[in-house]
Amino acid sequence: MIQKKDDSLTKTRLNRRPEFGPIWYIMPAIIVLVVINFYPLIRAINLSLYNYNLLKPNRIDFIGIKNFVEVIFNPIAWGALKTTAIFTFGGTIIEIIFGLLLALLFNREFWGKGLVRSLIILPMILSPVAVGLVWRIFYDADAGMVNYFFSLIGLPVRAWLGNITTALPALIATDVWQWTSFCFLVLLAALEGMPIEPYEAAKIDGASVFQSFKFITFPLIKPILVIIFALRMIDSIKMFDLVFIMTNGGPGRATETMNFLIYQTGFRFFHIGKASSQAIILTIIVTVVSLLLLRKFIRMRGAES
Amino acid sequence: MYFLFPIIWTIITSLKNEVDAFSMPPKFFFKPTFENYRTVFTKYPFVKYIYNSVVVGISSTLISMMFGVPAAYAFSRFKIKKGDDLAFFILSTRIAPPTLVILPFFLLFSQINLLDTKFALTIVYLTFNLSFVVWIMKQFFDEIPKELDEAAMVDGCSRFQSFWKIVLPLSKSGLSATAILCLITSWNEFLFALVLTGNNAKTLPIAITSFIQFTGTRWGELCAAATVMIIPLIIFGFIIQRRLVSGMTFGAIK
Repeated sequence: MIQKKDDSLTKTRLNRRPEFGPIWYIMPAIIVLVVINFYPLIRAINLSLYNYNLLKPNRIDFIGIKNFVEVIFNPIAWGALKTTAIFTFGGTIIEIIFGLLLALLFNREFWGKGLVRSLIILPMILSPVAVGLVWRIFYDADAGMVNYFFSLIGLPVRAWLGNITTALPALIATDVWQWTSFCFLVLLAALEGMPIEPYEAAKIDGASVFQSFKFITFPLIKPILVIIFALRMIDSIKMFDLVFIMTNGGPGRATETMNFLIYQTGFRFFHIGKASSQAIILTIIVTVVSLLLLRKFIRMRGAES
Repeated sequence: MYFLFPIIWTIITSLKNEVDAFSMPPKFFFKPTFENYRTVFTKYPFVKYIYNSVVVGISSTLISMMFGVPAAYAFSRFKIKKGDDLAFFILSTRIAPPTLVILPFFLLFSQINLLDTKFALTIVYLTFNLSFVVWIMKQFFDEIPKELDEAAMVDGCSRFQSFWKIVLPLSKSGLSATAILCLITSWNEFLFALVLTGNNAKTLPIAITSFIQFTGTRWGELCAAATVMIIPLIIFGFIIQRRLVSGMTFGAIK
């Protein structure tokens, strides 16, 4: 009988309208988010339809999609796209490979593991500006650390950031320095969560280390690899600080990524309309890339469950 | 190790005087001096820049948390119509390149005369901080069983009270990790600060670039400034190291 009483009590309590409905919890955040995100989006689209140039504020004409057409036929834009592709793709692949190798290496108990873990996150959380500055000094032709160490071990010495062929790889190297730790940490966590049994079974069956990696480890971490790849690609496309600090897009246009080109167009040449259209194109590209990559992941997740 | 070397080098170089900093081959044994730090703080209004970074970082984090945490709670506990769409919308703010939003914001703020203010910067930082908070905190709230809320409500708490007194204290570690990650992101942010600030609201990342002058880069001072800038980050890093991966992958990987 007492139980019945409790039940009816529960019913009344939970059925009563809550003080603050879910709407109140979310509304403020959603309002802010929508305003802050939609407003610029709409305005950007709007801007891209005009030939708005801040230096000629009296000549704002509606030119429809002319900006977009211009971008598509502009070799400079394609060059920037190519640079972006090399930077993001090259950097991400290298970071994942290094991260994976390091994770495999460190996937065992040893003294100081916790310390290594806490130290290795440092590059990731440092300001890209600071990282860019320090590495810019490192790459200095006369007094930079890179040339110093290279001269010690007999590798060629040159002006890394001033040379058209080496500028982009130098940037990639800095990006790799900063973000390999990220891939390393994630992959290490993934490796640590893996079951031991398959490995033991494989060992009994006489599989080599390489074979057990190829057939056990790799398939299991594939979904994680996809996620890391997607995340790093997305973040690399957005990269700005390094280019600005280290090379300013140069020498020539060697390190001009799409993101940087947008900045140049908008804030150095003040072609706001053109820059907006470039930005929109870039956004579309990023969205497509992320949807492609992450959809695979969602499908994988779905397949597992 | 390879990864730590540049950091250590920066700190060491900040303690060298000008001559030693430039010398090749690099001097590993030298007399340390705090001269660079003294110059950095006296020649430039460096304290003001630190102050700006701190204020913008803290306020944008606070606002994001105030708005984002309740929203995350609602996403976690209630079934919301079009919840998935909303969630995707929030995620999309991470994907979009900042250059897309910066042009409209620049125009807007210059038109209403808010350029070069910490206020403007704070608002713009909400674009990424707010969605980050909502996304991450929702994951944390998901880990706290709903039954706890309901048990509290059976005992007489209103929904809000069960949120405030039960769920929040339990998610303290998540809250602090999220807040610190917001702080770090705001602290390091460069593009928005570059475009939207002048001398008044300049934040540290911009201030650092001023050490590259036409008369040649002053390495010692630059390293001193850089060290000042990264010390809080190092401290923060140690505090949140466990939650860091989860935060940076937006919760995709725990």
